[in-house]
Amino acid sequence: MSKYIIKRVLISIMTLAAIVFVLFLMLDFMPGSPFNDEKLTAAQKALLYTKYGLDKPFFVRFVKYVLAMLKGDLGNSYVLNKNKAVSEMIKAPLGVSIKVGAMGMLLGTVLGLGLGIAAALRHNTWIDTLCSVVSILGVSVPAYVFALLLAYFVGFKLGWIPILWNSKNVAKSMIGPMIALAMSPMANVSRFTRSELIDVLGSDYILLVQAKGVRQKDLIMKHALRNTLIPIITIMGPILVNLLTGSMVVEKVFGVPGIGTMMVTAIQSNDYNVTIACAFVYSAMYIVMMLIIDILYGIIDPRIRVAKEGS
Amino acid sequence: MSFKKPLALALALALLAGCSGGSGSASAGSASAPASSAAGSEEAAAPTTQNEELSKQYSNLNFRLALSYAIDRQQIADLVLKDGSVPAEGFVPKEFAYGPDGKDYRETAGNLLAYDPDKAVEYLNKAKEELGVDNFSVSLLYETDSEAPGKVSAAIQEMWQNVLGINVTLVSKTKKERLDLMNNLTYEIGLTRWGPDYADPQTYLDLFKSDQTAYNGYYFNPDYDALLNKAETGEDAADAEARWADMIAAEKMFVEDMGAIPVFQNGGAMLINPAVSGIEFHNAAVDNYRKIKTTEADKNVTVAINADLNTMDHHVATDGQSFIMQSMVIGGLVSLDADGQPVPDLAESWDISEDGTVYTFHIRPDANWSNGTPVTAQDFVYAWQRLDSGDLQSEYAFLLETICVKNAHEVFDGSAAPEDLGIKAIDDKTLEVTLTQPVGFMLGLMSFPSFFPLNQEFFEAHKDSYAQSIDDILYCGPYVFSEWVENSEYTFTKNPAYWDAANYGDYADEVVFKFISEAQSAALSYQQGELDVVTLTGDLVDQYGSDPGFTQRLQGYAWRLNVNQIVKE
Amino acid sequence: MSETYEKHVPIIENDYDEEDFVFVQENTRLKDKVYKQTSFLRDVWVNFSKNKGAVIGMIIIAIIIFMAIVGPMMSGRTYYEQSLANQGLPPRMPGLEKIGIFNGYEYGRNIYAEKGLEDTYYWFGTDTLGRDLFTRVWEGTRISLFIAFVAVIIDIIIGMSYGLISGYFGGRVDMVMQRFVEILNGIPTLVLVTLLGLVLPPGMSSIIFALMITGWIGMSRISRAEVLKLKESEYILASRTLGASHFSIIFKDILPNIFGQLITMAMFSVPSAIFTEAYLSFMGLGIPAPAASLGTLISDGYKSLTVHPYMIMSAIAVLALLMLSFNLFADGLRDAFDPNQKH
Repeated sequence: MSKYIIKRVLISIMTLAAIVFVLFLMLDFMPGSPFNDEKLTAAQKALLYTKYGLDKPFFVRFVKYVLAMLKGDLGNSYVLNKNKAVSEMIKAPLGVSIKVGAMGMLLGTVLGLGLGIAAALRHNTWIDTLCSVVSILGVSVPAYVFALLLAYFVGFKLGWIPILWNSKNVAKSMIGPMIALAMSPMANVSRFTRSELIDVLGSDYILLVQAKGVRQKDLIMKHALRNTLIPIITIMGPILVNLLTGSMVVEKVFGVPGIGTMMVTAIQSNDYNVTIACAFVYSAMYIVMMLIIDILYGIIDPRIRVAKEGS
Repeated sequence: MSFKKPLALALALALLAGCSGGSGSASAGSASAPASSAAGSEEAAAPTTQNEELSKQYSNLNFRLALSYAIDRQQIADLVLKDGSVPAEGFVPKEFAYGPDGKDYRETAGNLLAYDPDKAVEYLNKAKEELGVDNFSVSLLYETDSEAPGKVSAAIQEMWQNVLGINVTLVSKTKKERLDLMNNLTYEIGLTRWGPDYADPQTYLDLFKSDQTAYNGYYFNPDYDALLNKAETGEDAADAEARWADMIAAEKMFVEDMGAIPVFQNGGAMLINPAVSGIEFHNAAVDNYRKIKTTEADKNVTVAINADLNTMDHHVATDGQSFIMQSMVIGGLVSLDADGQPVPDLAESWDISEDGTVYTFHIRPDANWSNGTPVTAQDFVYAWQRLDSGDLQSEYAFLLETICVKNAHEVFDGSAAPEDLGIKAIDDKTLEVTLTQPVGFMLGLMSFPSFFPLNQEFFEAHKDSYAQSIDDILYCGPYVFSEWVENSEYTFTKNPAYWDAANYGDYADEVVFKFISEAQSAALSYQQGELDVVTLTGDLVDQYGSDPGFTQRLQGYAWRLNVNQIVKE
Repeated sequence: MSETYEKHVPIIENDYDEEDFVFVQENTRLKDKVYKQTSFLRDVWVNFSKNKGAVIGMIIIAIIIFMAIVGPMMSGRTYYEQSLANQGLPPRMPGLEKIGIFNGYEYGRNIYAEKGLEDTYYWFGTDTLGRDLFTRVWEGTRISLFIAFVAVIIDIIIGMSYGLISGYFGGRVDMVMQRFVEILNGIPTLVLVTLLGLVLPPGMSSIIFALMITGWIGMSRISRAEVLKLKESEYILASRTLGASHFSIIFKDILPNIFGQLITMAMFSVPSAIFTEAYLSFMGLGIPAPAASLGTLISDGYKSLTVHPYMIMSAIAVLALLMLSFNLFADGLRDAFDPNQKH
């Protein structure tokens, strides 16, 4: 097991290194420049490039950046918050994004599980239909449309949740973005739980347990659910991807000062260091989560472990 | 732009693949090759080959006239933008600069543009004949950072296709990319705008002087240059009326030449809580939020902004939002009243020499920084020297040259010492500014953040962290920056050390700027009473046009189509 | 989602003498019966058509594809033609307007009557530039489908070849190729696609390229897993012993066996490609105007969602229907190709 974990960690580190390189390379190809405002002359622009070391060859800049990065220095911002250290800039937004994302994921997973289990146990009833409708809506309505509808109907028409982020009342401000983000995990988890549980309930060993006269409650809690939950870990990866995509747009709708908003602005204004930092943080979060899911899965399901060690 | 770059990128990606699994050292070498060569080609990116055919097409005056006559500017303003924008009547917009007779520039210069489909076709046929072609294809570049340019471009595309029957391709880019393409002349027609830096048509007309390469690069007209030079630094410089006439003649020449095709002047539709008053909008200066009043009990005003604060360092700032916030907490020698006229601020009075070239400002004895040290003439000298320094490369350093401060150019390029700049501290509270010639709009510009003071001792103590947090700024304006939530909220509360603090009781206790990029969310929040000031997009005007807080204003921004006559590839 | 339950048919073996027993009652159902032999594709179809959801999905897809082809020509207006005077008209359809829907009313006012356009019908309404949304929606559907299909076909080709080669040759080749996949997979699609969208010149081919760059990974996984399973099987061994080349083993012996799965996977990829395209459009990286895709229509309509909700609704409805029907269809296909396989 430890060998497997070490291998996975090594691959993750390599992936992160590759990501920095790819990001750096892509930004090098990105048209536009952080210093091409209307009022700058060509000579001034050249001087600014020299000042920030952007005139150096690609590899010199890359090595310099990576060396600084290892020390925790992500460079300074060129546009967004001029001359401020990027590592300082992303701290607060990152905290906000993680908080909102984690809450959304948690809420979505819990609701999805509940709905999926209810639908499977009450197969072909109204609750089953509700589950299908939710999962269809969840996968077919883009997150930003859902977020705005939420802001409009629940926030504005009903006045139940704040429409905009208020840094003085974070807990309340989080409700809207959290629900909007929960939609996609909820849809996926409920759909998956339902079909898994139906499969498990139809299997021979459940029949055996039933034949032994185990109570319905114990049957579901002790025997059926446990085997349903394991495969659900496998879909956490794709769900996470959806969540990241969603967070960028949902943050925009609710005015959440998160890392997604920052990245979009940074990309638009060619603020290289901020863009790399944001994209890197996104990737790192994603990779770490995937790593955890993989290891978790290996621990829970011994078959996976054996298979992976074998290959 | 060809597909070469993406291909190189894909190649690099593929090579990266090769390296990741194999042995370390060999792979690093293989990945470096394409990357460094790609970077090398990037360095030599400035394109040099000229597309003769396209250049000829756009150099044809009749063709450019046809394009201009085919644009129905009224429709664009009323039906596409709907935010109070008005059709352009010339290159210089209206309601921002006033002549020696007190009349609006535009009123004297008249309307130089028209929509006339018949004339457009007539000119197009002439162009076809002259160039010997059957039809034209044009590409129109616009930016995607805001909504308006895309909608306007789509409307223009349809008008040109409809009226002229030419083939129009739209090219959408981020603003930064668009500027890059336009700087490199690798575009055909580009929708662009200019916001005035000061209340004089010169801020527009200078853009197309032959030596202005930053934004022009294709329009070279010696007569136009001569006329402007005569007005700005030549024989008419001291004669306000002759200068004005020269400007009008230069603009007429430019529009008749169709150096660029003016389209519209920006409006601004807003919702302002009826309880809130006192926001002063200036078409050629920074909007003033220092005198906001509210009848609501909490005396708090929350303003939604659709662009973020970029920096509180007033020598580095380039965007309107940053300037507004800097003006709240610092301040200049003068500030502008509601009509845009300079009134005393940090300077209580000033004397102007007979010939109009030496200004002596008397700084208030009670003007103090928030740490208790007095605001001195030396603070201004230090600030201006920093603005003009070659190290900083401030984008607004050119303003010193514009108002003809002695040695501004020489200090900037390093051929003169900073001390030679035409600004001297006579004593702690007396400041002397020397110009090389009289400049009518100089005094008004003193309210512009680039000319704000900077305390040397404080700055040097903070250096790298200067203006990066609320504790790294020294305040001498009516408000202090009390809370800075990055990317989101900026709270300003009253400054007890402000020289006029005793008379500031009526104004809002707290002004909060909230960055919200989604206009619809902001408008909904306004309706709930969470926000007091919101900017509307054209799409929202339909819905909020009848709201009691709905206001429209004209802005100094003028949008035009640059028609590139030297198309490079 | 649908489930297929296996039928448990008892197997009766004739290991008794006929004299031992006397039939009490003859059960015809258990008697040997020779069924007509059916082809694989027919099996698939029979299984598939049993699944109601999948059939409905297929019908909706067929209707949408039909409308994507024919729709843009139906209203007599082009997708780019603007009529600023007719901007912001709500949907109005002859016939339906009599029963109170699609009647040209918005906020309780008949906008058509107000503008003096009593005889004009825009079935899905007009956008803020006065373009016909009906034409634009179907034109957008056409482009979205085109982008998705092309991207997925390229995904299949690249992913399949990659997976087959990686799995078949195994060893060091497999190791290197899999590390690459793992690393590429580690980069969040969203980040990669956004940056690619910026780097590449705007247009359909760039979007397809951006979708493709990560889309093939899933395909390659499936084909590799299948190859690993199949390459040890007897028939492959037989082929190899008979001297078949690697190429012919991979493409003639292995490929046909995994094709069903790839098709299923492709059908699942189409909606996600459409979704990614919509996301790109929302970030302002969609196809340039006046052309439209479902994504650009949604992001345009989004700008006035609270003012004119109908502007976004038609595109959302088509998008949601496409998502739904492709998912149902793919579910059905998966079960039909391999009734015993679970996800």
